Amino acid sequence: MIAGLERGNVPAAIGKTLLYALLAILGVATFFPLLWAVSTSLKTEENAIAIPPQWIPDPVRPENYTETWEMFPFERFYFNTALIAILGTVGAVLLSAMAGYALAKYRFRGSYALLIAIVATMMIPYWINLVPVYTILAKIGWLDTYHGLIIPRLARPFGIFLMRQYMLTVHSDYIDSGRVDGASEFSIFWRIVLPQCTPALAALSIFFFVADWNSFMWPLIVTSSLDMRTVTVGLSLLAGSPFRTAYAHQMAGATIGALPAIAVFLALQRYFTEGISLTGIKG
Amino acid sequence: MTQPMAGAHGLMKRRWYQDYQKRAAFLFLFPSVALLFVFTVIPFFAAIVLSFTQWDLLSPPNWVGFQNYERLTIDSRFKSTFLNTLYYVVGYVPVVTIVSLLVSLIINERWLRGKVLFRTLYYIPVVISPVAAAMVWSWIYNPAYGFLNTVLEGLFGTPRQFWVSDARLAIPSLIVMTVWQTFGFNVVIFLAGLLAIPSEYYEAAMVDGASKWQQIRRITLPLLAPTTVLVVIMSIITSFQVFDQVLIIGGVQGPRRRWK
Repeated sequence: MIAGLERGNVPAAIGKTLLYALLAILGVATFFPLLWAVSTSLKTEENAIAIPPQWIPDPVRPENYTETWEMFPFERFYFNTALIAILGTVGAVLLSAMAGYALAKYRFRGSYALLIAIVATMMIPYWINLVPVYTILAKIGWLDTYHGLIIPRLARPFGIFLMRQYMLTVHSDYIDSGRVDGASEFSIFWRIVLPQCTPALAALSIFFFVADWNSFMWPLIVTSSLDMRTVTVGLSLLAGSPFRTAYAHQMAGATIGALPAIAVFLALQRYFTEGISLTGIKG
Repeated sequence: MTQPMAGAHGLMKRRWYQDYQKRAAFLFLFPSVALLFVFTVIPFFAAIVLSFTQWDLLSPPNWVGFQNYERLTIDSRFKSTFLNTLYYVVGYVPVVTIVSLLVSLIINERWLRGKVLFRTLYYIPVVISPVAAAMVWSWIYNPAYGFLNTVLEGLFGTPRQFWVSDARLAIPSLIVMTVWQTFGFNVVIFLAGLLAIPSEYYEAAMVDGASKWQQIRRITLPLLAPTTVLVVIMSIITSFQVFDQVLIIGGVQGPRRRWK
């Protein structure tokens, strides 16, 4: 492991130390903006703009959080975002798994062409579709509703592709023996195939949840009433409000908004990186 | 029991079974395909058709041929926003690719401890919403009280810069911010690609006395090429779509850069 040191190879040891230092500096640079935001969020507004800068808040002012929380209906934003992210994730993962299963394990004419077509839709930039989709939602009265936010985004080509690739590795023998036992096609999918796909399902769920939690343009466009807004849209309102120069409160808002996704990531980070590896290698 | 697949009855049974399977496949696929069709495919073609019309969303669209496109070619706002985006993409993609490649090469070194720690640390900005991240950075970039100006002034006496509202600095500032937010994602992808390179190659190279640099040049980079291509293409696609951060940090208007 430390062969360089054993051989008394001083330049190699210096090189290793330098590389560690490089990674550490980058780590500090990565983390610092977040620490600075949290630090600012706990200062009084006068101390937030003090020069020279105050590193550690003194006095600590947690009221910034409660005050920011009350500037906008943040509890409503949180409820909306959680509802959309949870229902959207569960639905999208289920639909992806179903479609991926059909594409991986059923033989029918044109199944490969269908896969290519589904993957090809990933190349359509979403903003091209914004006006037509908005018009469709307006026509069917789905604007400013939960189902309008959730349903149009349930079919996700990336998820279908990932699940299809993963389900190719499930042995068809299991499926066949399920058929011999007279299980219905859906219960084979539900009881035999899905339980074998938990790594892919977990990775996809976390991806979708974080993406939904953080998505901004879609809820910005689909919703219009304050009661239907999400956390990210609420933050943008805060950033554009007359409080935009209340920097400590701004940072309190940014922290409130960023915390859930960071918590989910830190709790489940193993699945996260595994999930990217699933796609990275296949890519 | 009768023998399966024997005689006319068996044939019918098989036919029925194949149809049953097809029906099952159809039902599994239907929700996704239908939704993709209604909310992605139809809108895409509608957008193309609508681009040849004049339409106020209320009255029926009027066919105008290439008129909209002609107007775009003479619209100075379109030209400058397009060139701004191009400038951003051309700056962002190489920087994010090189930074994440270098970092993943270091993390991939066998003697290195704390791989998971570094990888996790670099990934944290990726999961923060671009809106919250842009709020944090606009505070750091703040011309009067921002951390960047305060530190630069204190250490080097650098005059205060308008990182976001100065047209010369706006795009580079945006590049720094988005590299910060996205390089951790590419690091993980590069690490997956590096892991897929068989270690036998390196062992053989060491036997032959190849230097570290030669190993990287002749083994790692060529075998990592598919991953690099993936990272570059994905970065190009996502950077052309940059929106959230720009809206929060600069507003819709933003500074106007003059392009010749």
